[in-house]
Amino acid sequence: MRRAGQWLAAALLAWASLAGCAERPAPYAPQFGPAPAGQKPSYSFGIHPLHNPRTLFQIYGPMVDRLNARIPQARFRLEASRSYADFERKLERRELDLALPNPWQTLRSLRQGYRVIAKMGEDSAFRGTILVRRDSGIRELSQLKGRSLSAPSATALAAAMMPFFLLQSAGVAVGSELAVVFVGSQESSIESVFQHKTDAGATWPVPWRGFQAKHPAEAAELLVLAETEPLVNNGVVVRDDLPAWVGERFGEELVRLSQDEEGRALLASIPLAEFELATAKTYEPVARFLDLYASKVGPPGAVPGAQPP
Amino acid sequence: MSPWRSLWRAWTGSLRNRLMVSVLTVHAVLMTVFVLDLLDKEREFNRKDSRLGAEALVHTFATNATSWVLANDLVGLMETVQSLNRFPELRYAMVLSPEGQVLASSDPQQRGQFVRDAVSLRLLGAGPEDVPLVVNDDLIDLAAPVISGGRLVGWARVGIGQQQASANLTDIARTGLLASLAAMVIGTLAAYLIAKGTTRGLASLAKLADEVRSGRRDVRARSTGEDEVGRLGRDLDAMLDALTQSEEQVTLLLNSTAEGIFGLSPDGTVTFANRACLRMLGYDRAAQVLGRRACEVVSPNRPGRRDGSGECEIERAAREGRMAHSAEQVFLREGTGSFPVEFWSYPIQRAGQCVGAVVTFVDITERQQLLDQIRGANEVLELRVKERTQQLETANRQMVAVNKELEMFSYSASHDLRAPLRSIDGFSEILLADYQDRLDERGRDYLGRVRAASQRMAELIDDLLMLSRVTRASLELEPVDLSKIAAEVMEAQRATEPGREAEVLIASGLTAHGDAKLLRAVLENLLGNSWNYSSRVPRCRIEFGQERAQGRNAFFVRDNGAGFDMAYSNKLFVPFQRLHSAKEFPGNGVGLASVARIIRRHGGDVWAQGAVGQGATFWFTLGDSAG
Repeated sequence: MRRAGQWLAAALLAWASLAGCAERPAPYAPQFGPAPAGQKPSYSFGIHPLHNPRTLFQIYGPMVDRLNARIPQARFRLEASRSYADFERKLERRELDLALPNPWQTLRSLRQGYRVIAKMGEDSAFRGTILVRRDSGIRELSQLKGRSLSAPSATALAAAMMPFFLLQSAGVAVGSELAVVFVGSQESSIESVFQHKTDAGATWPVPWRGFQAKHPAEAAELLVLAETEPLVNNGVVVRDDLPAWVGERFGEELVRLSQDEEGRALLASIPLAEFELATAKTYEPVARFLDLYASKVGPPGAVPGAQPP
Repeated sequence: MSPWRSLWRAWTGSLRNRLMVSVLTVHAVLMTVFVLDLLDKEREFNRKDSRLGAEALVHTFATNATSWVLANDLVGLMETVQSLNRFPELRYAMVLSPEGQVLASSDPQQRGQFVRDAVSLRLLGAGPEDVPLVVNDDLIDLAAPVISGGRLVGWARVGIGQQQASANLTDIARTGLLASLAAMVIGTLAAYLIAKGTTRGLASLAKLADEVRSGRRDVRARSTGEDEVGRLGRDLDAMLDALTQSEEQVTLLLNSTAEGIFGLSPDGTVTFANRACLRMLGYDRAAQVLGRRACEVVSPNRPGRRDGSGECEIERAAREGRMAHSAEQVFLREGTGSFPVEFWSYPIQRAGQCVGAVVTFVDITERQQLLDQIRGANEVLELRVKERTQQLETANRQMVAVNKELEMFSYSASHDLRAPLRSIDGFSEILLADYQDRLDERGRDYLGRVRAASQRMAELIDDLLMLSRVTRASLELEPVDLSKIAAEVMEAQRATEPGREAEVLIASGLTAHGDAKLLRAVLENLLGNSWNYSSRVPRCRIEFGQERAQGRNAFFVRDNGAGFDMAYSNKLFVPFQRLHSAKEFPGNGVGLASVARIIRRHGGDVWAQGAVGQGATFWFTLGDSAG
């Protein structure tokens, strides 16, 4: 009986031990190391804020996919920027391997060691557009005096500097007679007019056509008050420390986009008819315009009417 | 003793232990199941809760990181990652490119590096949907895709430790364990107290049962309680009363028998003895024999001795479980020697097992004395029979000698008488022939009568000689075709009266082993008699065959002739005795006597049955050697 009691106590202890046991999983922590060997070189392809980042990826992502497929030796990463300033800073810091800046930025990038390899075609479409609400009663540029104007950025050539130049030529002193609000992107500039936040909005035809397609009802409440003369379209630049073949192949494939159905469909989503090869010389008209702008409006890229630092 | 054996003994040896162990086991099982279930549910809840929290976090993280990833704004990404640092138990947070490169991480040193472990590499090539990388009690590591326009642009990944949840589980487990132990201890204590109260009465009844088993019948439970134990005690008392009464009746019955009866255990020990047994064995009390070996008490082989095996037959039969009986045994009688007995030993079976034997015996002293007297009388009788037999044999021999002399005399006399008879007949014939004209009619008649008498005398003498030959001639045994002989005899009879209508039926294939000449004489006599005594029947019928008669296979000769009166059947086979006159049917009464003698010489028997005017049947057998 005593032995049985001892065994019973032992059984209780064993039960308690078993019941108290809990399975503990092995601890885990992720492991890191350098890039795996044999990985293809990766190059960033930054596009100035033609659109907000999501739209930009939606429009240009398939095009970059095609470039990656056509150029298997390298991998190209599309990179948006949250603002023009952000994009320009990347160019200044040479953080982008390849870029699609606007013409003004193209000229500036040359100073940072980039070179022009191609450009968007359809220069006739590269012009500034000023929108107003139909119900605003504004039908002349002069009616904008004492009003407000939204623009993506002070450095936007077609969507800011070219409209500013037109307004200035029409006798409206930008900055003093017309308040300018920089909203960061083309879509925001259009949206500001629609939402009565500004009386007019500066943009260029590509985003305006996109807005019309995407929001026809809202677009119907707006009308084009004026358009500027055209200028050289956006350029494609490559940083000078990249292997030469990268820029060459990249430019070639951009030009080939318009040569097949798939490419044309991709271009249509931009929308754009074609890319074409270009050099720095191609942008000399832009340089001349900027000189005029500087003399008539103020320093390119600066807020009109603002005191220089 | 092995631990299992001691546990088993503790389990089976006491209701109290069994109840306690049962309650303890039930508590242990139920509480274990309860605690495990509780822990499992809590663990599941924690895991779900943690996972939901982690999913919400990583989705927010991925959403917030999207624009930074699209813009490749690593500083913005780092700020986004660092905003998660205050999340409880966050071990790491990072944004990875689709190729596995760290774009931003809660550990700044990891920036620009690539994930290399197998768990992390599952992300490469994965579709744009949540990937639970690690989900266990230590860590929840989830990755959510950073998507823009339906395309994967990176991964947001968070690792959240589960120490707090594990600590909570440990607390719950510890509390559950303590509660279980407390429940088991309290339950066992309660079971002990209940068992103690319950089994007290049972223990008293068990003690009572032990006393009853040891032979006491005067003990009683005398329970007063109204519970099951009280009722059991009263039922036990009632059973003891009935048992005592039954045992008294059985004892009374056994003590009232004249036969000695004693019981044995399988090892031969005396377990019971009735009064007659004690009286015959010379004991006053049962205690003098109970517990002793049966051999010591009765020694059935010979007084004071056993057989070579050390067992007597009674003990051996009891051990082997078989019945034993002897009508010539001797039992010891204490102090006065021994006495003859007849005993029977029967095994006592219970559920197919031999549990002992019961031996009954009777004193056969008087029976043996009577048998001794009978044996003495038999001896005297046998002596007298022997004497008488010798006397009879002597007389028989004398009689055989006399018969032989008589037969010799008869033969000689017959033979000697034939010569003067031939002379009388011959001279009477000469006298009639030579002196015919000298004799008158009367003289010729007288001479004719002399001749007829002498001829009949000669025939009579021939028959006597025949009878004598039958008696004296030695038998020449051989296979005999009786059917053939019968056919020949009847053919000869038909030849004497060709115009007589007679139906003769002779069974074919009847054979016998005997003397052919004598058997032919038998059939000539029997069939001749039938032919003769059926001569007046218009359509006689004579049959020879074989059938069962008087319990034997017997040959028979049957006819539908004159028959005979059964009142005189004892004279049929006596020489010269006739049941019909010679005028009715010729004959001299020697034929059947000859038949009887021939049949007897063959060791057989002959008998007849008939009725006047209704025919007769004669059966005969020829004994073993001849039949």
